[in-house]
Amino acid sequence: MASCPLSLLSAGTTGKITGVHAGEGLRRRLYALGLIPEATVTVVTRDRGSIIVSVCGCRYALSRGMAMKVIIAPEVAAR
Amino acid sequence: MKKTISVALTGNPNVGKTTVFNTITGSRQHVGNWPGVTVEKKTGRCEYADTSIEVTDLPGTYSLTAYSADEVIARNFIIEDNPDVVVQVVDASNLERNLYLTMQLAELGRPVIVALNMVDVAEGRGDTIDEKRLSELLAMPVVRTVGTSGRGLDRLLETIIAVAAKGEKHTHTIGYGDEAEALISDLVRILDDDPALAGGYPLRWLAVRAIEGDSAVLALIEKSSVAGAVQARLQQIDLDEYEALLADKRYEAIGAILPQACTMCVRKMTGSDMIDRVVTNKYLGIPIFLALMWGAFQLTFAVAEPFMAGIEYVFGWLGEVVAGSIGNEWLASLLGDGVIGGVGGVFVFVPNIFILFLILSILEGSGYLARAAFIMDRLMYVIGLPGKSFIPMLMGFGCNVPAIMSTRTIEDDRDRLITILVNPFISCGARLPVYILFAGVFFGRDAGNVIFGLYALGIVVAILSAKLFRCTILPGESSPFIMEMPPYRIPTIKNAMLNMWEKGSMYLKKAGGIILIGSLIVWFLASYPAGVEYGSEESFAGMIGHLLEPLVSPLGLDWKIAVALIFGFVAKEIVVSSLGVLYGADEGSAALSDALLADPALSMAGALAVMVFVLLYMPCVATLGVIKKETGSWRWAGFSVLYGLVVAWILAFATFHLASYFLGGA
Amino acid sequence: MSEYHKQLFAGFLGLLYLIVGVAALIALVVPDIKLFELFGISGDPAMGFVLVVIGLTLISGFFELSKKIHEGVAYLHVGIGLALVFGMIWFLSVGAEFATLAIFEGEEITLEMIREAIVPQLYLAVIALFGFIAWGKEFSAGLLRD
Repeated sequence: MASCPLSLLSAGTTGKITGVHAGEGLRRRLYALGLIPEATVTVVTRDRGSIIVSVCGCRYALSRGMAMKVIIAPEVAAR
Repeated sequence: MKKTISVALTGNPNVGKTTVFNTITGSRQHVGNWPGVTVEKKTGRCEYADTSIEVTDLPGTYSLTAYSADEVIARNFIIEDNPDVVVQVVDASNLERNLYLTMQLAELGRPVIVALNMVDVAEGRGDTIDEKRLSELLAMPVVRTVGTSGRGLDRLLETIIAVAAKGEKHTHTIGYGDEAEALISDLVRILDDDPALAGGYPLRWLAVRAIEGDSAVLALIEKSSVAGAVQARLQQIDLDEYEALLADKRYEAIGAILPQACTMCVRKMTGSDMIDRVVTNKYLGIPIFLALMWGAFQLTFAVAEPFMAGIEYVFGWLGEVVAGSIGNEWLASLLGDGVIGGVGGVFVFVPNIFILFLILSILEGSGYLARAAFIMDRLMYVIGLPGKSFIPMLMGFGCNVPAIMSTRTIEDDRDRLITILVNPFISCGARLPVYILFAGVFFGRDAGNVIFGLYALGIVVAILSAKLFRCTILPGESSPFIMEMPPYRIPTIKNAMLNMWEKGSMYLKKAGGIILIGSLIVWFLASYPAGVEYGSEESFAGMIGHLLEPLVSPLGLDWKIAVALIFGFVAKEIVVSSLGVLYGADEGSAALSDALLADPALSMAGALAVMVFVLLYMPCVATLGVIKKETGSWRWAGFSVLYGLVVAWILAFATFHLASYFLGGA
Repeated sequence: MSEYHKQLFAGFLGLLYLIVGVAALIALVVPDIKLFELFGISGDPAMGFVLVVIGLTLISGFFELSKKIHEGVAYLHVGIGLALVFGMIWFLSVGAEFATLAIFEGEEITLEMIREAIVPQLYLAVIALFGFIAWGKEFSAGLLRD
């Protein structure tokens, strides 16, 4: 499936990160948290302006602006 | 002679680091500040097997880049203070992310011990961890610990002593691949030419950080004699690409280590995930949050009641004893009116503040507070602030001092500055006595609604000011935020109590120090020049009041209120006690209420104006001090005073005239 | 089987909370309804709101479970948790009030005062407690201890 920004995924979807298009500081920060290319993320909730994702067992809240910068290839949901 | 070993305790946030620290050092802790910055520095000491171990609790960080002040502090401490041993507390249920920091620590060259915490949780979930194998792969000792029960901590201390005795540097680091390694070794060779750098820093680490574009490291190199050579070498490559590559390699190394040392069971949706679905639900999230907040305030005020009554009783009794037993009239007045009256009036609110902080600690410990910030993010975004700013706002209802200190978790400087500047408008516990007095006297049955209205006004002013600052002096978008949502936990009473004590004691110190001095000044100004009647128009206090009367008369107020407001700058509670002095009535007694009601200069509209003014006019001395400390300059502290005064005057003026119009009696 | 019990419990308790909460809001407008007084319901906007929120949380659980969505149990547990928390808040508040009266104001606590203190958020929390005893352990085992 084609890649799209993390912020556009619906709750419950899982996907692989294909790229992080952020400035230097922000990207380093995202990397330290485990949001790196090839990592698998799951969107837990996205009811609000920001979304909660879970990546390698941790949950983070990302604002939508931040989530726009993380590009993801969603897995075809086997839900 | 006893040996002393210095240990730096580091780790990701929310891995139980503080619990480990508390269990090791017990009560022998010292809380201070890191030099130059305002992040709390905690050190503690412990004696074990004839060795004295000095533990420094570094701020919790995910990595050792220079993204936040915390990270800079943590790594500077390890590099510059040269602790004998670095202990990283690792959440065993979350190894992958935790080991990222381990990889970076390894490059700093100090001996590292991994304290594998929360193994019980991981194994309860079905994971297995072979710490011997992990230790071989990482080339550093790995010790299992359970911070809460203290299990494994003896082993940890023994390992610390053993590692310190060897005193070897840690040399095992991961490889970044041929191309990057070639670059690193080039840089190391260049850097080695500057003796200042080669003596003080691990060169490999400097090289790696320089490649990753670390601003602090680049600034350091900039100043060295080899700056030109380093720049030239760095210009040959595409830094962006390398930075991602290095992070990838670290995870690759972790990815290679983990399967050899542990097996992870497949994660299903955890309890935390499920709770998150409920409390951040589109429709239920905010109502649940509001309900909990209401509960928190209900609890704060209701449960504090017997304690407050007890403290009032004790101070009342003390006052009587002093009045009865001290013959010297001057001394009796100083102790009775000045010290006991002033400090006692403030101490009454200690239970309120402690209970509020206890509740906030429980909410924080359970993991809910992070969700609250998340829920409020949308709303905060409209104001132009990140969701994280919400927690300091909430704490401001207790006391602005710890609230402003808690803004440290906000990374963006402008966001943080705005959050600090609007915090004094959040009505803290100290302002409540003023409301209770005036609303109680002038509004009787409606007092509750009036007080609620004041709290609401404070919030509205804070929001509008934030918006205003965002549009004018501190422009910019609120920065996009990432926040860890820690797993829900069942908070322990002990940790909640410790946390409460830490924050509450700031208030106690304020009550003990500043307010005592403030009360004495009030007493002095009200009793001199010698011979005047206490608190009369002829006293210094009266003179000051008359001087300022033209300023407050448009608000429907007279000189007595003006004096009380001036004194209220020391601490807003003092407004009440100084009115007691000026009206010559014991505070808290019906006499002061009667005196206020009988004063022809005060009307209902005037009372409203006083309350609005007290709510907004300026941060108290303690808050001002904290603003100065946290923003690093008197400029912003001064700005906050000036801005507050202007806003307060305008709104009090409007309130007075509107209220006079609607309520009739001016 | 057990899921079905949870669903029924969530629906039943949620409905009770919702009814009582709405009643507390109605009592704000219409004073002196005898039936309400019998159940200790008085007009209180904040408390009414809280009761409604707890009721809605539980009922959301009921609907999710009836759609066979397993995660619906989270609504049940959060609902039970909220019910217990607010029962406890009331209990502590009343206890503190009685303590102040008895110790510092020398008043006696009469049976009448105790009867007045028995309000919905207290007795409904007792029902919620049964739910907690039945399923709480299994759920909280999945959470971390600090």
